[in-house]
Amino acid sequence: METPDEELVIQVQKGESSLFNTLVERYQRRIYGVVLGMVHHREEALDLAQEVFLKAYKSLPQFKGHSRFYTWLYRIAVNTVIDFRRKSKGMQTFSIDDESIKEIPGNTASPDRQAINQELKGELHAALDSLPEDQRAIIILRELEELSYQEIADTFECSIGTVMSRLHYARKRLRERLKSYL
Amino acid sequence: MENKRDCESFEILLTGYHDGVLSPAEHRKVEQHLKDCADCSLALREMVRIGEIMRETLQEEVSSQDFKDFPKPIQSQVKLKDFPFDSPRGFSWKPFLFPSAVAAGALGLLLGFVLWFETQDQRMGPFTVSIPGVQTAGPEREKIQGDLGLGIRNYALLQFILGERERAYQEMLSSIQSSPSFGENPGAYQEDLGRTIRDFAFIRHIGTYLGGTQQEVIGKGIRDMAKIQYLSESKT
Repeated sequence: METPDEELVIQVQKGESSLFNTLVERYQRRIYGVVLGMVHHREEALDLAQEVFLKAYKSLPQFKGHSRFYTWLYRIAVNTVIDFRRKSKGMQTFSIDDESIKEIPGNTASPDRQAINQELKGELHAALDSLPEDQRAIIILRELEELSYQEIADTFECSIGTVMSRLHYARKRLRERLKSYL
Repeated sequence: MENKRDCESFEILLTGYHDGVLSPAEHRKVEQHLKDCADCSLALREMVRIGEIMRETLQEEVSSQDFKDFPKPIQSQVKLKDFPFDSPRGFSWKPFLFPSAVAAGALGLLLGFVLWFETQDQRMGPFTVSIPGVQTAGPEREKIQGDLGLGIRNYALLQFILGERERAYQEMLSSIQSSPSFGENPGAYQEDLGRTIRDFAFIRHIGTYLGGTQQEVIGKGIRDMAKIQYLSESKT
């Protein structure tokens, strides 16, 4: 039976620091996925995901268990990416702009679910990039991580109504941007 | 088909409907609307498709990532100074840091004071002791000397700390004079007496600084008093 996060956290806080690796292994894909969904760059996402765990490791003595460990970890991930993007503002990390998107031949037929083509992937990244940071993070946590509204609200320390509202605007925007692929 | 204005009022609810978080009443309301509204039904299908595209695209990228060495760089990035936890099995200095700092400070203060006092002591020259019956010279030593001197000194300190300075001084003198070996070998007390009187002066200084709250010294004084008593009885 898998040791619960909270128990592992307590053990690490007591000095069993090697158990933090178990938490890393448990959440590395999810954190990487969230970060990748926000930065769209493999190497950057890997570096940032490691930074997330490093921050979590260093901050763990301050973690009091008022929220679930993973929502706390997601919060660190989202904040790390937002900080990163703020710092690298002006640096082009993704090259697809509106004009180039228009030039991509739209596949009017529904794309095959088993083989999403590169263009659609690029379109999706561009569409996600066009969202405000909080909307982008929330829709990734919802669609990719399948977090509940309550878990997202805990992560962002906001109300469930705010979660629903931000999801609504994020989906609306994505539907507009990806219309030709839907 | 319902008009555009109706659809706008359903927009946010549609998101909640899609995620299954609406109340039963809201759920029924949206369901009813969807039966009559092709636009909202399309919007719902597009929402579902958006989710599918996100999962297919991003999960494919995540699953292709090899995390074999992922935690290692984290461990290597954590330098010793950043290590936030005590080692459970190995030795850790952390619990000793604060007490050590306090002890070092106290020791430094005490050493500073001792050095200052010694300077004052040397400036004043050797103590001149005038106690009836006590000789100021004599080579003999008895084992009892050291214990007795130490005991008297600590007793004086004990009494001083208890706030009976004058009484302590008198008792110190009378302890020396009434000691069973006093009459036999008075010269043997010279060094102890000198040290005791000097220490008594020292005690007064320390008492001024420390406020006379040293429980450890009180305990030591009581222990030494018992020792004096024992030695005195065995000498008698």
